Formats: sequence, structure tokens, C-alpha cells
Amino acid sequence: MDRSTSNSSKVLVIIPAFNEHETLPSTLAELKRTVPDFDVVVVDDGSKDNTADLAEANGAICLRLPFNLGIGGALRTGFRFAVERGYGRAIQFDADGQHDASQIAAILEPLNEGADLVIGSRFAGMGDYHVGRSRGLAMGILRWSIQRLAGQKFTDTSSGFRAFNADMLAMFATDYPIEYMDSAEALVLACRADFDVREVPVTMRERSGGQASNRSFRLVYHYLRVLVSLANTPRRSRTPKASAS
Amino acid sequence: MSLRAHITLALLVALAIVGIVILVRRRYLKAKYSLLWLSLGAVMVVIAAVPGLLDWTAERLGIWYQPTLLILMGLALLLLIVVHFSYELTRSENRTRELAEQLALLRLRVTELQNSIDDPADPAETDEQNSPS
Repeated sequence: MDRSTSNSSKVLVIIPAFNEHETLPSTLAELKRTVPDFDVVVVDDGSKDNTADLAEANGAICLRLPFNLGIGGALRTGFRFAVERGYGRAIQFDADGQHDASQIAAILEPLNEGADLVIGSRFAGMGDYHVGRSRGLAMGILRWSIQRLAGQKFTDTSSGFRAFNADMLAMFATDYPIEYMDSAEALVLACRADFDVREVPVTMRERSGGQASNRSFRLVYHYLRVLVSLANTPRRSRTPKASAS
Repeated sequence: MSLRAHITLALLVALAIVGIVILVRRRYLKAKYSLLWLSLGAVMVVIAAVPGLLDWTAERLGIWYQPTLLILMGLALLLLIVVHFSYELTRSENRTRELAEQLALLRLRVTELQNSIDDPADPAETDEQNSPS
């Protein structure tokens, strides 16, 4: 495809969105102000509200999934779009306003130094973001098991503020975890395939809208599911970098 | 097992097999799913038809109460069928997921193409990656 080459120096911002009409317009406005050169794609994950229309009205490209696939599916659709259109880099960004667009430059920076995947961490010594005690404990256990599986230490495995280079996008476009807490599993997947995964400290805001999915009963159920899928993350060999870049 | 039990079993199995065959013939059931059910039926037929078989096998396996073997085998086959369904369900879900993702990408593509047809004079109106380079 001839259009692939023209985008290789561009950055795509991928925003998975499910019923985010309250916060999406302000998030898109913030992105337009802060990173006017970036393309923005909103993946509407089968929203019941007018999320998709709002995305288009506010100047974003919109991918409309016919029904809800969950965040993993929405992200994979975004990664596919990025690969299809030949973007050299992508940012994963939340629609709910908890990510700060001014920090995009900071998570893109390590890609220049050879990183494949950069995670914006709330806990890597910057900013103040509070989580409840049980949530903190659950995240701690998860962090420990991920550290063992990935062979690398991470402070914030559930962060959805991330940057990807073309190699990482190519892998995630076909192979992105579709289970709940895809973010943690994706980390492990990338590490086990010998991608260069790094963390940078970021500050995040409290969610300005939407509902965090932390009803305790469901959390436990999903949590167990994550542990099962994490334990079964395959170790695969990475596709040679030379061919892609 | 008593003769009466054997006859009851044979009748039930015959009924089940006929039922499954009818479902397959009417295309309500794919042949590949019927195979496991029919094989379950086949095992039951053999047990029902050969009176001494169950008792003899149970004795070899050290099972004291012979009908247990029947239940055990039935359970084992049912388990196999259920696992097979989980497998098929997962596969089918993955395909649906794949279709949904492709659909979203194609839908955007169609919108872009439609826009470029409707408004060929103003390429800025259409998505910029869409213009031929």
C-alpha cells in the first residue's frame, strides 16, 4: 500500500472508548491543543451512547465496533488500524480524562532510544495518585507475579498510558490479549518476546467521568482470570527487528 | 444387570440414536457434533446388547457395583463432549471477534471512499491518508 510510507513518521493516538460521551470531547480538545500534529483514532467499543458521533464531530477518526469487545479487542482494532496505515508510532490514551496529554512527549522519548514499548507509570516516583487498600494489595500481588513472568520490574502494570513503536504495533495487531486486564498480560507478552519494555513516571488525574470497574466481586472474578491467563502466556520468539524498520 | 435393565437401556439408547439421526438429517445438528453423541450411543448399544459384558469388564477393573461402570463411562464421554464444546465455542468467539474488528476497519474505509467520491474537488475534506500519494 503506497499510503503506508507517508505515515511512518507520524504518531497515532489510539483511544479505546466505551460510553464516554461525558469526557471524550474534552479529551479530544486537550489532544488537539497539545499534540496538533498527531492523528487521533477513537475505537468505539460498541457504546450505547453517542461516543462515536462525538468522536467524529470533534475531528477524530472513528472505528465503530458493532458490539462490545472489551478493551483488549478495542485496542487490537486500533493497533490494526495503525499497522494498516503504516504509522511508525502510537500512543494509547484513555478517554476518561485521567491521562495528561502534556506528558505524551515524555512517554514517546524512550522510543528514540530503542525502546519498543513505554509505559507511563503512576508510581515510578512522580505525582500522587491514590488507590484503595484492597485494590492496592491486589495490584501488589499482580505486580509480583508479573515481575516473575516478565523477568523485569514494573511499578504500574495496569497503566493504560503507553507508547508503541512499529515493531510492537505489528505484534499487538495480531496478538493482543483479549482477556480482562489486557494491559498486564500485554506487558508480559512483550517481555517474553524480548521486546524492550520501559517505564517512565507520569502524573495522572483522578477520573473525571465514567466508572472504574472495581466492584469487588467482579474484580475478584476478573483477577483470577488474569492470573490464569498470565500463567499461560506463551514465550514466543520476536520477529526480527531488521525486517520491519 | 438384570435382563429388564438391559431392555430398558437398549430402548433408551435406540431412541436417543434415532433422535440424533433425525436432527442431523434435518440439518439442525452438524454431522461433526453428532459424531460424539453417536459414539456415546454406540458404546451404550454394545453394553445393552451383550448382557455379560458390563459385569465382566467391571470385575476386571475391580469395580464392585457393576452399574457404576456404566455411569462412569457415561460421565467420561459427557465430559469429553463438554470440553469439545468449550473448544468450539472459544474458536467461534475468536472468529466473531475477528469479524467485528475487520468490520470496524472496513466501515471506516467505506466512509472514507464514499467521502472522496462525494467530494472529489476538496481532498482536505476526506481523510488525508486516503489521498493517493
